Amino acid sequence: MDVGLRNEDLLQNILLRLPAVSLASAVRVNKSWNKACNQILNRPKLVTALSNSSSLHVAVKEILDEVLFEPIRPHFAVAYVDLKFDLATTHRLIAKKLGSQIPIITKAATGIIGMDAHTNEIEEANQMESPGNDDPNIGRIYTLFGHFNYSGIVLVVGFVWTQS
Amino acid sequence: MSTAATADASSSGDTTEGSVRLLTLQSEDGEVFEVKETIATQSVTIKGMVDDDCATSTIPVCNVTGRTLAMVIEWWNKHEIGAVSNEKELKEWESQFDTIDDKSDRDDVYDLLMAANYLNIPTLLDCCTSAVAEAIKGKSTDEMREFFDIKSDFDEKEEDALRKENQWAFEN
Repeated sequence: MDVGLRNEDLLQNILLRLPAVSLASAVRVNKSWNKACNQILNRPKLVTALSNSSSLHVAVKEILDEVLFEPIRPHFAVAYVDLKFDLATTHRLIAKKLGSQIPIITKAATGIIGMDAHTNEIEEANQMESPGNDDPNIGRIYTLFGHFNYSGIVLVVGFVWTQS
Repeated sequence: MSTAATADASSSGDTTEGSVRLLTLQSEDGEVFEVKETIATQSVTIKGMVDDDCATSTIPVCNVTGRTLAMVIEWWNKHEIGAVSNEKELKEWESQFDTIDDKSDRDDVYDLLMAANYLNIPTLLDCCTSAVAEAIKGKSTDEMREFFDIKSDFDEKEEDALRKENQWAFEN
């Protein structure tokens, strides 16, 4: 097997099909694998996903699975989080997966739009003023599709450079 | 007109079967295969030779054994237009190549990968590269090295730096 995988084009063709976590293993195999992985990530890259699951744990899992499905090395992450979810908890869940070494910004958003991690369709969640609701954090949310009490997270993960 | 065409074909010395030209392929270990030109031109390399009129005598297929070439020809036959009635049947047949469970699968897929690369057969190349990618998905660095019989050529300092840089993937 070794002989064939010295063919750089073939090796790259194989490695670019790996998800982010497997790429992180592949980059440590040897120098030629390292080079091939770095050529796959040879320019800055952003990957983004949206989940509108009403469960925070499900939503975070969905967006992380989606952004890490393709080869990327997380250098920073920005999460736009529905007011309904607790920011600190969301931040902790994302940091648990992406590690403690990169900057992660977790920000409350009043309206979010993005590609649904589940259906791959563009979805929008608009949060609107809800008269008569005492808790400002639990507003009624209207979407393009007319759902109520909608929730969601958009996660953007960025790769900036390769250390050579 | 038709007489002239017949005369041309017979004078060029090509083997023909009906109106379909047969190409002669010879594997690295000397096995000879006769394959319809319409099928063999799924290989971009062979198509180039046919287009340039370089396919009139035996075509040597270097670095590909007879055993592998037979598998390649089987692939071509299945992928000839009209060979299978539907896409689902084709996918099912292809699935024998897209999983690597043991060392012999691994070596077969590897041989096919090299042949697909040399002969430039996009469909087969795609199937084999994704089979290898599937096989190493989820494996640790050490497991990947073991799978491909690769030894690390990093020094300790480089290993450490890489471990740190990719730490996020292994924290949980």
